[in-house]
Amino acid sequence: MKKITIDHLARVEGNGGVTVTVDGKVVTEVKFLINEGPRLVERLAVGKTPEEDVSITPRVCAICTLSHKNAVIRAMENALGVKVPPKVTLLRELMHLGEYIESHSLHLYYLALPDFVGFPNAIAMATRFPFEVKIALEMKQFGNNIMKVLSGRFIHGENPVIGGFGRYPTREELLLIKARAIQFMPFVHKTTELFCSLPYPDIPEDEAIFACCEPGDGKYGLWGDEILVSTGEKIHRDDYRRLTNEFFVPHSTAKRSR
Amino acid sequence: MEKTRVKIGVFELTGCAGDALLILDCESELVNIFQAADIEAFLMAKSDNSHGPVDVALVEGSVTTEEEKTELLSIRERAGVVIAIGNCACEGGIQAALTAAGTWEKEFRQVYQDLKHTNVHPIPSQPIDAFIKVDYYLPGCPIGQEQFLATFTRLLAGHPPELYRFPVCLECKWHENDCLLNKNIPCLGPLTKAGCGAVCPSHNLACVGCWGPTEEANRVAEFQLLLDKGFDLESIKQRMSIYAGTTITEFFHQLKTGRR
Repeated sequence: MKKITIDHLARVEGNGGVTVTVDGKVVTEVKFLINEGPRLVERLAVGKTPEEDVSITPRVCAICTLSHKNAVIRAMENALGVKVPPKVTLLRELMHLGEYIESHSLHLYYLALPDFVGFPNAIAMATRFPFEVKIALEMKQFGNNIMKVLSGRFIHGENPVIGGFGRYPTREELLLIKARAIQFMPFVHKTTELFCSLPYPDIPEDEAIFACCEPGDGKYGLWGDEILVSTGEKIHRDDYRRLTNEFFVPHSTAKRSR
Repeated sequence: MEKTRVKIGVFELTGCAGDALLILDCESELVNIFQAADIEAFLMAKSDNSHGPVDVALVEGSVTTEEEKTELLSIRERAGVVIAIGNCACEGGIQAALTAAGTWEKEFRQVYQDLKHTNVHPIPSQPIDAFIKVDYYLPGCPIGQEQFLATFTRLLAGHPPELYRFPVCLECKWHENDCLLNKNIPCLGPLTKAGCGAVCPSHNLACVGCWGPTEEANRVAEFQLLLDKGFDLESIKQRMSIYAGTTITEFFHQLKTGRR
């Protein structure tokens, strides 16, 4: 019986490790440890005002801060019976997509790609991929700037509030975002080609089930009240527990979901 | 003779990783940052991390496990200068609100039931200066780009960082904003460290206090002002406490025991 232990996984957000137990040529157990200290955010949210919860909840995670912001604001509005005009919904979608662009540029180029091409980090990788690293940084910055225009800053912006925004972006700010988005399109296609051409290891694993929100109108995004599952099922968000819920494992301070 | 390059380590304890991410968010400066100094350890950005000595350790996050306590003590031993970055490291973070004796154990069970963790040994959240000597504090939730880059540059030149010692109100005045307190909005600007550029008041929103308490905060005056405006004691206390970590717990304790 052999045990492989990695105490700290690098180039991921958060504090995690892995232990793999091997018996002969058979892997008998893989444990993914989340060693992040418990912060009890679930309990911190109790007893606060709705506005205070909207401020606290995104502090769960910096990389997906606006996803948490979106979720908590929509949950509060749902509970309080607050309806927002379409303009607010559109701006929130844009804000969320800004995070999507920033986060994907970060994960693909900074966190993942160095492993595939054999470099310790993205900056070192620039010796072989100077163009990709430069434009990926610019694309990440573009995503960040969308987040800043809509949320007030890169991380944990307080501008999105129940009912709308503290300050609304100007027409000029929005048109600039549009122009920059069009400029990045060729690089987005290049990114898709690059990542499709990488040698992915053939790992036997359970068939993954994917789920996303369906924005309707044939649009692509993360918005909507229906959860679309790759099994073909469609579930209303109020019934999410039919699809998934949290559970504990002793070797992780973060809860798991299934 | 070539000058020795400054060795820097970025270390993360418990938090949202926003301060480390903010460093990676300096897109225009990132290549320069990596070229100007030897980044010895930065788990979120690189895989070849050293466990050796560093000239400057930037530590994010609060201490919430015995294992993190051990790691922090080891970082202190290996580092010339330790800088706490972000609200969790400086103040204990939002999670420091549940550290009172008896409270933490109760709340812990509410989240994890009777689960005994096998990977770590959780303890109530504390800022890093509860365990080690901290040389400088870079506040924020998360830290600000401007202050980080200024601090980084000064450290490379061998100078101590020059941190802001004034409240959000001053930056708010620079923006020529109307005072929100005059509009009966419970803004925490007067009690909060500057550096964010008064971002919330500039977006017509009250300061939530996320950069932590400023040194000479006159809490009694803000309390009185908000009471006069009709806010009730408990809601003011709650609002002041969220991002003020262990400092505010001590303040309320002193108020109660009449030492102020």
